[in-house]
Amino acid sequence: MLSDARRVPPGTTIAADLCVIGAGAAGITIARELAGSGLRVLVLESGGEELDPRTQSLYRGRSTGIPYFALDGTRLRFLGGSTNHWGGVCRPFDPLDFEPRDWIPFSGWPIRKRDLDRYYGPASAIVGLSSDDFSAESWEQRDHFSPLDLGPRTEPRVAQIVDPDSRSFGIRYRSEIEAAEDVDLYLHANATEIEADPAGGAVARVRVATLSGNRFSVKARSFVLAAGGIENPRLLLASNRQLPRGLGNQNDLVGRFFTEHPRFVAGLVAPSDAEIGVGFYGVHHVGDADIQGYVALPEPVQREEELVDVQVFVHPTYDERFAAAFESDDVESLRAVSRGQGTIDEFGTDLMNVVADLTTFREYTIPGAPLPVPYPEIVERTLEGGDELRDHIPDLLGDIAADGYRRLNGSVPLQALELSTRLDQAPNPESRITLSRSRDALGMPRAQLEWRLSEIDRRSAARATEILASGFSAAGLGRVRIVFDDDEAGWPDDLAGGNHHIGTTRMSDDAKRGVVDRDCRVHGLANLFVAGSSVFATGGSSTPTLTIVALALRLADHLRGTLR
Amino acid sequence: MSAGRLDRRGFLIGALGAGAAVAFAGLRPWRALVEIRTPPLPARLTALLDHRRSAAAVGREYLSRAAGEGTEPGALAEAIAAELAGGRAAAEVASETELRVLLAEAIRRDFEAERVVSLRRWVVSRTEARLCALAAVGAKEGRRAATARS
Repeated sequence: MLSDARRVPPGTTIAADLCVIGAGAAGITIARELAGSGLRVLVLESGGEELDPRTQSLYRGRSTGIPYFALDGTRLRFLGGSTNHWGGVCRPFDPLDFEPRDWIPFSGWPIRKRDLDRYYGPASAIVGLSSDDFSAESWEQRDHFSPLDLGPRTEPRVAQIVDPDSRSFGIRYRSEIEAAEDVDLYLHANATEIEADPAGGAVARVRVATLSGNRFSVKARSFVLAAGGIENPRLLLASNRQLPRGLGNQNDLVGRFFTEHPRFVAGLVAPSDAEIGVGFYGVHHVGDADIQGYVALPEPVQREEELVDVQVFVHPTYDERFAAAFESDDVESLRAVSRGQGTIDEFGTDLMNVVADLTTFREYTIPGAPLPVPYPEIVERTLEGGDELRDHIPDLLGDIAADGYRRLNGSVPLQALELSTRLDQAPNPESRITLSRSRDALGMPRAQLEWRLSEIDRRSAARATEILASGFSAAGLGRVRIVFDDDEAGWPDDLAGGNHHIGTTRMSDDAKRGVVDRDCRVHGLANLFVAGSSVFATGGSSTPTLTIVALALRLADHLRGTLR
Repeated sequence: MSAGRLDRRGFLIGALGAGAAVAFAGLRPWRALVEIRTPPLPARLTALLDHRRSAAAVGREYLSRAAGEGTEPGALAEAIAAELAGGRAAAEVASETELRVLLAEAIRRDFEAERVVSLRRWVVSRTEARLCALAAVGAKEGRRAATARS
């Protein structure tokens, strides 16, 4: 059932078995899982069914560390939460992600990959994937594109991409929630305080306010905080009526270890062959799925070199003359093409001349084309796109030109391949969310972010690029310019996160190292649980949403068992 | 690609055999003739490079950074030959095409073993850097000779 919190009689106390704060991927998953279980579930969602600037402004905050996205732009505050702008990229974490790695301080989860394995399959269906197969080998057998052979010190990986129309949990599951008799989802309901009982050992109620001025409370046997990796610590820290340092913060850990998946261009490949097939590395159809391949370092290499997990995305770039032809609003790969960083300098041209002189089995040609030519792999994508065909007619026409050009000249004007790295950032206690002095429209202190990285992040990015440089060169695919290296002070200008807010209520069996235990229960509070990427002990080798949903399913299992 | 690798492997086996043949050929009376007719190794190596100016530019950069590297053409050529399958002996008997294959293979092995140098942030194999250094030294000597003649 969907209700409007603005219409709840002021001062009311609503009772439920379980109160879930936040209706994003985690909150909606828990509510759906417990629907029909005999438990009364109440969900509080701050926003309505669409983006509202006034509600969204409750997310405003300060960023004082490494430059980061605006805090009211990096997440969304309405039904479905940040799945409303989610990129849809999915892959489970690897076993190594969960293990303590002695070269990465604070690494290691209290659970293992096997504890989540049985949830990843159902989670794949919940997020809207048609398959729960993430084996690169398995996809390679069905794929018409192949990964490049970059040697034994690298491995291909595959992520699946959820169809854009299926990504929003708000749209996908709205009618199901509306029809659920034992689930009450209140829109426009902002949790402003989680109030502990006088002894401070359990949560007594949640105070709720609407922007229209209504206020009421929710009492429940258990509570789940599922408001995202910035809002979860904000609400815990601001809930300081009984415990002055905030809930769960007896060891000063709430808000610490803010982790992202930092990404930037770390290398540039000057190709030996302008026709290198890199279709595997763009988003493309295989059967009824969309997948994207990328390059990573296998576990033995990570162990031997003592690195964090580094994933490298291969983006083709083209001569500036052709960039204009690649501009497209709706095709991801074309946007990558027009980023314009992939230029080969004069020294690189000299080097490639030498490489060409020494190449015995390939003909190296510097492409020069009289026509603007778009990305050729879009031809295939467009033809397989069915209903999308009309939207891609401009691309299709361009691709026909590209195909014709390739037939006539034997090559497309590929200029370079950008190597864009994405890191599993090492946990850093100084990277953190705190409360700022300014307050929002509901009187809550705003969030303040200090994003920091560590030396191991820097070394890992640089070393991974070196390993790839040798892989590309040994395979005869080209030569690599290191754009980012270990000696540099600071971080590259194009450093950005992935809008992933991780680790701020991290999981550990030791209350001195984590905010929640292996069951996602806040240490020291009998009935408060946290769901979402804020419980991740490390950021992981993949994007977080699939694991958020898998963990939410696991938490729902736990709650079903304890509340019945 | 796989056909290329087979060819390369086949050639290398041949190259190793040829290296041994050259070692024994030291006893033969026509050895002197072969040596007279074959240009010296530094010249044969630099002759593989059509883009001599480009190679010299890369080579100058390498020499400015590699403090321990000699600038004498013979020594550079010896260092390059030592990395080839079959070593100097194979290089001596290899045709131009075979020499290219030997070099390509040495460069590939350099990358696999990460015997690389960073030149203006470009990752370059040590063998190809030395080859470019040879071109740079050759270009310098050529200019010196031209100056002396004028």
